[in-house]
Amino acid sequence: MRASTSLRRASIDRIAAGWIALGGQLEGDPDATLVDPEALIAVTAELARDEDRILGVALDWCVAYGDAVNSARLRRIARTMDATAALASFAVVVSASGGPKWSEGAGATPMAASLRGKVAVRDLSAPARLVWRLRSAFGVNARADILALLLSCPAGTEMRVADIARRTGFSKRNAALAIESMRLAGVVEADRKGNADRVSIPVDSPLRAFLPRPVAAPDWASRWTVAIEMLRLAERLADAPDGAVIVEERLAAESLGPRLRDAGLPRPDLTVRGSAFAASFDAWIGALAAVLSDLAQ
Amino acid sequence: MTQPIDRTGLDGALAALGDVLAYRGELYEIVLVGGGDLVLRGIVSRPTKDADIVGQRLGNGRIVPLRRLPDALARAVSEVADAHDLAPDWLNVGPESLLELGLPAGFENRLTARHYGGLTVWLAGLYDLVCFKLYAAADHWPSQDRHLDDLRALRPTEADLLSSARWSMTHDPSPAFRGQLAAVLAHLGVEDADARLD
Repeated sequence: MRASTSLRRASIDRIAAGWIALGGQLEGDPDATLVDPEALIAVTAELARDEDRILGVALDWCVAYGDAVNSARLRRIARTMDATAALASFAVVVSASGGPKWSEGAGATPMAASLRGKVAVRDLSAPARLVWRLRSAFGVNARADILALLLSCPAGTEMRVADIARRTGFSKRNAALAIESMRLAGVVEADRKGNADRVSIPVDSPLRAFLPRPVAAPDWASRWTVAIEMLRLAERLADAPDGAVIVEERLAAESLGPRLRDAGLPRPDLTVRGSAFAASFDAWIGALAAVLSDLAQ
Repeated sequence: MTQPIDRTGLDGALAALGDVLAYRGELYEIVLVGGGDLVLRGIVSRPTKDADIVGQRLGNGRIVPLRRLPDALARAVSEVADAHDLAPDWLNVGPESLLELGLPAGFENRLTARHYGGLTVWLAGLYDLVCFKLYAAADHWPSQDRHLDDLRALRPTEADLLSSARWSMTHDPSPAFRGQLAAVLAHLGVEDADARLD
């Protein structure tokens, strides 16, 4: 099996796991990490457009619980993934099916998807639903997402404002404003260390009841962007001559450097040169697939 | 640390470059001279650090000089270098003066083509290589360096050497160069070389 095929399969399975975690009735285990609803919707529209069951469950969820989606953040993440057109096609169907009207859907050709009635949600206590739960409790805003991120970390973890902004997908200014409000309210602590504020949730904060144990909170927007870019690359290079494949794969791998770090994904071995790079690159794609296949990370 | 390129390496690098250009829809025809030409033909076995392009060949067969590589070609050359651990300038523009001062008569007719995807490499003919190597060997004389070795490897006839020497003098008509040229010819066994250069 080609490496890109395994990455596509792992991506589809992980997308399904995300929807299962949010209440979708699909075969398989639920994602055990913090689910990012906007990243999940955008990647579903881009990669799972031909997966009827997954698309149907995504539509079910968006129609029933789409009010929990931050439409501005959804738009930003779709742009990062270069999935704007796919999201627009999905948004048209969501709107036509009785869900929220996301502005990006205007004028787009609807995706072939239909409601399946396959989402069942009793409560939001599962760790994977923390973002959704906090938005339900405190509103769809930066505060809920920042709290979800901080709560997902082990007690005592301090994060820089810039990192919080990057991980939650809000501008640094908006993240800083939300953090300052929450600091004044005593919800978070912010200590100046060096030239950056370090933000944390007090160890004895009652908010910790929302998530008694830390849970992995991958940067899903970055992670899915990497997967989408590599799958697109594989499509573009399907008929390319060998010499071009090596160069184009290397260029793509080099360009992903910072995003791989953000996404917590393994890095390709760029010290491998010549024709051996093709096998090394395939092994790296396999490693990406392995990360996506591990529902705990 | 990049290594000099042998025949297999150079052939492979040009193939990779041709693949990249073809994939990107770019087509180039370049004319190769110097050590790269000799290595590619298998005339010399020593590796070369780079390959020199004397110009670009147009569709009508005319050869035009290149002051620098076109952007798309330069980018692809650099990317192939990175991917295959070659020197960044493994394929570069050689001496402009060759075209400006004139190539040996009939140069275009002696070119032979090698096709690598989007890249066609035209190799200068053997007589033309003798011209270029004799010029370089005389220019470096009395140092007996790789140019003289390359010239020997080409196994030129006495007639080719004398003809090449006359062409060389069109590039450097100075008496000093003529003297060096005669010395190289004598070194290669051409008797009474100086008198036979007129």
